[in-house]
This record gives sequence, structure tokens and C-alpha cells, in this order.
Amino acid sequence: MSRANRRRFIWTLSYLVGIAVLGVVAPRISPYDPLLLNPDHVLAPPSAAHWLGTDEFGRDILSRLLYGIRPSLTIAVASTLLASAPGLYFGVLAGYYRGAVEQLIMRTADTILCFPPIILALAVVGFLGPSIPNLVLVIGLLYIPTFVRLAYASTLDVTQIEYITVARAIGVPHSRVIARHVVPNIMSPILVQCGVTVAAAILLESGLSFLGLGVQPPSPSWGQMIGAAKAYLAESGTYVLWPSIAIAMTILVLNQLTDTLRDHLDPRTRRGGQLTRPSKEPANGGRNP
Amino acid sequence: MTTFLARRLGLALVQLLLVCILVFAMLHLIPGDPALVILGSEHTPAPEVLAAVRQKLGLNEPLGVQFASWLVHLARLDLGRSLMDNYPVADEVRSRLPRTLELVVSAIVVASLVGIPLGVGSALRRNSLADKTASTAFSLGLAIPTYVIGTFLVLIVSVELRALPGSGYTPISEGMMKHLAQLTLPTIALAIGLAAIIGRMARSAILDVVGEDYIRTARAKGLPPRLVIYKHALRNALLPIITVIGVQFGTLIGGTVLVENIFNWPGLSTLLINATRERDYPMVQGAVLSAAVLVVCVQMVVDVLYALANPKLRYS
Repeated sequence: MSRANRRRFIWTLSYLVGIAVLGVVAPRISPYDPLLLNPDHVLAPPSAAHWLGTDEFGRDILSRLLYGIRPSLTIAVASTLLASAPGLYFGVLAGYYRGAVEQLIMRTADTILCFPPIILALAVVGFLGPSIPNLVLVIGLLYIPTFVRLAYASTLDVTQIEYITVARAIGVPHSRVIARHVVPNIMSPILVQCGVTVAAAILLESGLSFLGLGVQPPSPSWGQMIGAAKAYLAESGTYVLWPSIAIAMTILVLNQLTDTLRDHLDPRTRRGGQLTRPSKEPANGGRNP
Repeated sequence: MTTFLARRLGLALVQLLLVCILVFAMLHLIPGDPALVILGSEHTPAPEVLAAVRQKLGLNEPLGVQFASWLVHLARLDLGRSLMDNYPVADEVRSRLPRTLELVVSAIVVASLVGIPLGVGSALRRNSLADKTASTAFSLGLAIPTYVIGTFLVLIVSVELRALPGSGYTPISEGMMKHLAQLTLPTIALAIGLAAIIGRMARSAILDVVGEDYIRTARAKGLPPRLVIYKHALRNALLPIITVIGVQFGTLIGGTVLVENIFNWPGLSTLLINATRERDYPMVQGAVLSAAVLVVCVQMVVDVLYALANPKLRYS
């Protein structure tokens, strides 16, 4: 890892760990109960008592911001885990065995990718009911195809390398070739994709919460706070500012982290053009909501 | 080229069929009685209501029969009727689709007009202050969610400056200027993220080609630098840019869900959100289906354009 990359890696990772820790210890460090109403102190500007001001019900914005870390991170990480494992499994299967399996898996994945995620999520969550487990389930399922495509393409690349051909030729069982040779060699892009998906899932969850179809009030989430603040733009300009900064910073840092990881792990930039054409930008432009 | 076209069209048809199956199955994949799912589970509905919904959506038929009849209706562009006001879903979709497309297309145009020059410019002044500023701007554009951009546009431009209307829609027939004024902010909100993606892509695409031999040849034979960029470098760099716009089309349609909501733009996405809130199942189905069909078609067009621009692909 180059020096600049190492520095970037360390600060982005510490920011994210810091955010996660803040989310975990939110009950201990929050100055107020995030659900405590205060009708005498509605939409107050930042003050010594309320560092970031109060919302439309007089609740402390800083406390709500801290508690809001919890649903966002939980949903993002859980749905990424839910998406990556089956995605890896089906993608490797399609890339390794080819033929009918490949057609079935890849065409299904392509079809799901035709649906803009937020549209499908909106429709399904709308009918299932917006709860955190449902959000995890829907967002997780929606991102499986991205992992399938990536694992498939990487498996195709890897199976061309001689030692895998040799392993197959000397009669190593398929399951062993996959577990020992294919999967370890495609983990780097999968890991990078996990970072991309966490960011995309945060955006998707916050977007749904913004529309009122995600995390349900009164429990706070960043997207929902922005959605609520939108109605009071004329009364309080700072209310909408804090959750917006929180979410944009987090996405920015996550993007930086995945860029750094991609630079470092990509065999094309590391070993000097061994596999295919060097591409500095991912085909989707680095965003995948 | 004919083989390529035929194959690409075949793939699109398969995808359309799979999209239809998935949209049809959506309701049945959700665990529980479909009629109960539609009515919501907070309160147990009266048996007559349940029976009426089942009757209306044909849920009493076997699944195969339901799907076949749904497909037959679909072939006649009949998407069923709204559970709320019995209005034909297809008519509603038809009146709203052009408004969403208008938003998406104008966002693509704006994003290209901003993103391509910024990307090309920063590639040509690599590592300069301008390049670094542009890179930071691209990272920010990618990191700030569409709905945050939209909310801040409303806050700054229409609440504070009172420069442009923050919401609403006027048909062109009732006033072109008003229509354009109301189109401006939603277009910008939708375009910023895409502009960042296009800008990044343009920058790396130009950097990819400037090292090529034909560029050096063009320079060596004394072509003015500007001509080298426009005629040789940019033309080849356009391919990845077109691709990224195609890939991002679905994301843009998704982005309209938030943008239309913020700016009260009566397009397909507003329809979807309202229908979801009212549990108007046929309407939700119609909106989701048309969004996906749109994406399938655009992907096909992009692939064909790509093949036209790049002869190597036609024969592979």
C-alpha cells in the first residue's frame, strides 16, 4: 500500500469505527432521551443546552442523530452480509460450471437488475410493512444480483489461470477446486463490493426512511430526520443541516475507503496488467444505489 | 450487424418476459394470503371485503390461469384497474410516464454538459489545482444523497432566495416558462450525482487514451492540440461515457422516486409512492412494471449504440 493510500485507509477506517462506537454507546453519551418531547422548546436553534438545537417536537437533535446511527448501520451491514454470501455462491456456481446453470442464474440476476432497487424496495416494503427485519431482507435480496455478477465475472477470469486448469486436470474434486483455489482468488473484488454495497444500502434505507417507508417514527434515523426537517425549512434552516452532513460524510468516507481498497487489492493495478484491460473506474461509476 | 441486432433483441424479449413473471410473482412471493397482504394486516378485514378483493384481482383462479390472463391483458396494454377509483392503470401510467422521462432526459443532458467538460478539462490539467478541485467536487457529488441535494435546493433557491418555484408542475400547454422554471430544480437535483459519475469517467477515459500511439501521431503531424482532443481523444473516450449513462439509467429512474416526491412532480414515481401508501396493488404493479420495461429498452438501445460505435463488438 502506498503511503497516501495507507494514510487514507487509516483515517477512513477510524472514522467508520468511531461512528459505529458512537452508535453502540449512544445511550450512555446522549445528552437527552431521543424520544423526550419538549413542547416549550420546538425547533430551537443550537444552544448550550441543545448543541444542535431541537426538532419539531422539541426533541434533542444531537441525541436523535446519535441514536439514528443504529438503524442505518445495522440495516446496511446486515443486508450486505445477506447479499454477499448467496451472491458469491450463485456467481461462482455460474462461472465455474457454465452451461445451463450459468444461463439460469445469470438471466435471473440480469432481470432483477432491471428493476431500480428503490422502486422494488418501495413496493415490497410498502406491502410487507416497514420494519427493520423487513428492510434488511428486502435490501439484502436486492443486492444479491450485483454480487452474483461480480463473482461470476471474477470466476471466469480466475478459471482461465493455468494452475486451476491443472488442478482440474489432475482430478481434484470440483468442490475442492472451488473452495481452495477459486474463492480465495476472487475475494478481493467481493470485499470491495461489500464496501460499495454498505454505502448503497445506507443510501437506500435513508431514502426509504425519508419517504416515510423505512425506519418508523418515533425511533430516529438520519433519512427520516431529513424527511421531517423538510417540512420546516422556512422555520429552521439548521435542523435539516445536521442529519444531511452526517449522512453525506459517512457516504463520502465509505466511498474513500472502498476506493483505497480497490486501488490496493486490484490485481490489475498491483501486478501490472496481468488479467485484462486496466480500468480505473468501475463500470457502474462507483455508485450502485 | 443483423445477427447482433437479432441476438440483442432476443435477449431483451427474454428479459421482458422474466420481468413480467417477477412483477406478477411479487405479490405471491410475499408470505401470507395475497388478499390480506393487499388490505394490510393492522386490522382484520371483513370477509366480504376479502372476497371482493379476491374476486376483483382474480385471486380465486389457479396461479397458472391468473398469470396467463394477466399476460393476455398485458399484451393488449391493459394493466387492470385501480382499487381506489377504478381508473385504468394503463391510462394513469401513460399520462405520467412522459413527465418522468422528461425529468430523466433533461438530467442526462445537464449532467453530460457539466460532467464531460469538467472531466476532460481535469484530465488535461492532471494534478493541477483545478483537477484536484474537480476531483473533490466529484467525490462530494457521489456522496451527497439525491434527496439531500433536492432538499437543500428547495431551502436555498426557493425558500431563501425565492428565485425558482420549489414544487409543482404545469403542463407545457399552460405556459412554457412556468413549466421550465418548475423543471429546473428537480433536474439539477437529479443531475448532480450523474454529473459526478460522468465527470470521473470522462477524466479516466481521456487519461486512458492520451497515452495511445494515435494521439502521439496526431500531435506529431502538427494537428492543433484542440483538434487532437476533440477529434481523436474525446471520440474514443465517449464509449465508456455512453456506457456509464446507460448503466446509470436505472439509478436515475430510481432517483426520480425521491426527486419527484420533494418537488411534487406528478410522474410515475409519485404515482408509485401514492399507490403504495394506499395499498393500490394494480397501480403499484403497473408502475413497477413500466419502470423495469423502460430500463430493459434503454439498455438495449445503449448496447446497439455501443455496437454502432465500436465495430469490434458486432462480430463477437
